[in-house]
Amino acid sequence: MSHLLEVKDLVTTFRSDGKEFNAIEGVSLHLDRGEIVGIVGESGSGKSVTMLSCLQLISSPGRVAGGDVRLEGVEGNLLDHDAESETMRQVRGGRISMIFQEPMTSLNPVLTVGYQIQENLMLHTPGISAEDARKRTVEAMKMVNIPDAESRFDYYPQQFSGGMRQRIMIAMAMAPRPDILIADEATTALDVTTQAQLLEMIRTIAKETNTAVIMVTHNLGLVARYAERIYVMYGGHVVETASCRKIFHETQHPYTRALLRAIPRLDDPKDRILIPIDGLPPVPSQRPDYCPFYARCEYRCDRCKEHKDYSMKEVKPGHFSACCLTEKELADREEELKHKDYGASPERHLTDKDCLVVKDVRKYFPVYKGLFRQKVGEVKAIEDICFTLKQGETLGVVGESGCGKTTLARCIMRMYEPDEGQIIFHGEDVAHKKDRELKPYRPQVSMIFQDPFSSLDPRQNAGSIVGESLLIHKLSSDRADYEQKVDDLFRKVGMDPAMKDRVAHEFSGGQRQRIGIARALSSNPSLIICDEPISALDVSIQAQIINLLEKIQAEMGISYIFIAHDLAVVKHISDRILVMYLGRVMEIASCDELYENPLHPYTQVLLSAIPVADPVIEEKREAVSVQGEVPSILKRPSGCPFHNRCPKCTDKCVKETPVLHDAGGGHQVACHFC
Amino acid sequence: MSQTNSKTAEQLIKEHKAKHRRQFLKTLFSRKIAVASFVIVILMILAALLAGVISPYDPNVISITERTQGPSVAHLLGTDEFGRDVLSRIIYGSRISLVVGVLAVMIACVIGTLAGMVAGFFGGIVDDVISRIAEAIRVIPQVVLAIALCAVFGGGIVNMAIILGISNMTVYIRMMRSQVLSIKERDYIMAGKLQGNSSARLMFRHILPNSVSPIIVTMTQQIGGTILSEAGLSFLGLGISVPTASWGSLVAGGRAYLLTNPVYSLAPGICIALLVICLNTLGDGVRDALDPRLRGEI
Repeated sequence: MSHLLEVKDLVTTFRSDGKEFNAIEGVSLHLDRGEIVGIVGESGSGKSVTMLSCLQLISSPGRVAGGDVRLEGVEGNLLDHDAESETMRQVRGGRISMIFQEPMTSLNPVLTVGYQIQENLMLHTPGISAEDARKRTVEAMKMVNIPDAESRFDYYPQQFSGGMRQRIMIAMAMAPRPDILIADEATTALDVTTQAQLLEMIRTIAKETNTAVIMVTHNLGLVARYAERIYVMYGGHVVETASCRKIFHETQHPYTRALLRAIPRLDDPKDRILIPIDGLPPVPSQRPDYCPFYARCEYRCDRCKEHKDYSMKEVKPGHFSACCLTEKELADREEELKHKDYGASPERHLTDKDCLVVKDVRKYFPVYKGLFRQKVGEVKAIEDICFTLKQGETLGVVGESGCGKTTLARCIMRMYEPDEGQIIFHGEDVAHKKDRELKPYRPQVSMIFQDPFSSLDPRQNAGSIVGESLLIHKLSSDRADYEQKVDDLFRKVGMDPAMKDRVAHEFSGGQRQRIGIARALSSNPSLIICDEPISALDVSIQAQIINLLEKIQAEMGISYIFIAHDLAVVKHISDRILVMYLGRVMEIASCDELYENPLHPYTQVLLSAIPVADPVIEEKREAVSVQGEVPSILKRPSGCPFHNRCPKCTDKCVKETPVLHDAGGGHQVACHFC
Repeated sequence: MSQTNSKTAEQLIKEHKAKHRRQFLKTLFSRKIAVASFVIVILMILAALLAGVISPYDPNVISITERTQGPSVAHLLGTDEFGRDVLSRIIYGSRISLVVGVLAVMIACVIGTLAGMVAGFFGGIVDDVISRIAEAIRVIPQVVLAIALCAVFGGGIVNMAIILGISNMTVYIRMMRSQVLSIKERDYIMAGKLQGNSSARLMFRHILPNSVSPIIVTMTQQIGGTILSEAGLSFLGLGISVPTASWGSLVAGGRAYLLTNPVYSLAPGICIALLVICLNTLGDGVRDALDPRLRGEI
């Protein structure tokens, strides 16, 4: 049987430090018409390189070293054609289209969007007249649900929001009617509700036009919801492939198994412990010639090391795995692992003492314009924020970009002074204190940052980064005591104190985040604000950090404010959750209550947009759709900020801003209907 | 923690550091031209340091009998209108050029970096004042400014260095200000602030070390230009006063004898050109070797 696209034994090498190493080693995959296939893997696993290699888009120092790529309707091996040849240029964009992650940079800002779509269309449709091309461009724009497509033809990319730009990218990719659409992390940079809308739309278009779609992503939930067949990649190899359902329910390869145990899910029970995958993914230049997962595998045995042929074998009909262990061996080991003690989820010390009380906090940023910097308006970043946090409790803060999560965090940290309101920390209002008066407050509240690469000073060694607070606040008695305390902090976050002389760039992302946590702990704080602490990390590392944070909380009784957009993670770690939308609190409830009984329409939409990494559950879930995108904070709607997207909207919602009120049992919600 | 474990870690770190140093030197000296420049600059510095030992004559001794001679065995580069040995004067003149060049760049760098850092860090009115002063200095052409300052304060090595330093300062102010503006937004500066760091500590411990490499590159590239400026001013008679030899004044002195004794003027001119070219090449090499894209590799 011949497929639409068939890739066999694709090898791509990169040259670094004068040595050549394989970025991908013998990847094989195939694709049929109208099929949606997911390729999942962590960063560096070779997902994108595989796709780029097929299209011969690998640039120096990389090169495609071998393999066979066949596309229906093209004579011979695609790789035999010159990268610049007419055939390849027609394949790229004409037969196989690709959309990328960053919608902000993938459109040319000096050309109108209509022109850009039309240009691509005309390149790949010989003999089309400009008039027809324009007509088809408008059609394509309508297909991706861009309102007023005719008039938007002459708009420039910067006049569109991120989600809209990605729609335009899809329109551009789909306009020449390709056979294959490759979406390389196409929705990763977007908000969850927008992401759900876009993928839903891609699926509809693909089914209508019988286009095959390859979804390249690291998000297992997304492939569970949208893909029909899945390829799991690790260390430059495809390690497992099967239909979506089989991957999740009859998981074969130890890597896939480990991955599924490491990620938190929206439907998890509260006390589930995540089982992290130890270690780090192998660096391509130091990959062993046997199974690349060997070093981190819980199923490994001596035979694995001798098994050099790492190709896929059919385990069950249609289910391929690259593991050399037999099914019996895997099952036995699985049974053993079930009894292995991973430690219970750490015990919590919730107290009744209030750690932080935030009352009616408001922060507006002035907007200046013109030569004399006249104030022309205000950005209403956050408004009427009220919540309390007990000592030892974790409050999750969720919301889409621009909802004011970070502004709120910075107000509590007193990077910003709120315009109004009180921030009562252990009985003392710190909202309007001066910089100098804040000195005793600083060590008691710390922060963990999102980006482990920019949050550590690249010129300082790890030891002085961690120990800085000790020096500033004179928390150590002498040199020996200081060294001792720094060593203890390193051990607390699971790192070898011998590494404290290294500088930041010598650590991996996960290790850097551990150093960031050690720094936050150094002043012995009672509150830590975690601003998206794991969203920049690989899936297999995330669980390590989550577990570490939970362990530290149990040991030290610290309160966390955990800011994230990934609701599954927030649910896993939080006691209560606060949902924000455009600078206002929409709903506050305990974790389980919020997930089982979301009251606010926005919370319902948000929850529904998060995919669960389980296709069976995905099928049963009911989808709550929402119109439009999160409006810019500069143009916040009057009344309830959600009214223009809310299915239940009435006149009252437009005119009156709902106040946060108790809907019973501590479940607070800001909606006129609840 | 076992002893052996930490030892291997220490060794690893040492290897890492050694590797970075090696990488820097490897990139710097991978180009033949950079190696050649380096050697020439070192030779010139040695010549300046050992001027008393290697120069064949006292540079300021007048000999009426040997006036304006061409190159000979006794005087390799001939003599000037007072019979002084040109080679000796060039060797001694290199001291002036190098001292003024290095000193001026140091002055410019220290003042400019501090001012730029303060301007970028505090912003607002502080920034406005410093930036306007820097702009005011910039709008006056450098040579005109130097001539004016020379006329007021007079020549001399230290005065020359200060004058050239002030006119070069603005480069550092602008560069450092923009560096600070971008570094200030990084998370580690915010982390530092939230830990309760004072502004001074933030600036000197976190911001300054992270802006060192562009400063070093600018410094190496500016020394050449400054030496050229000094030579130019001396040529115009504004710089170092007679009878002290400076390369610029030597070129000026030989101007009248260009047809009869071209070596007198050409030799110091070639020296100036050679030193400046070599310093600039070396500056380019340092810039490439310090490039963070190359450094970032682990």
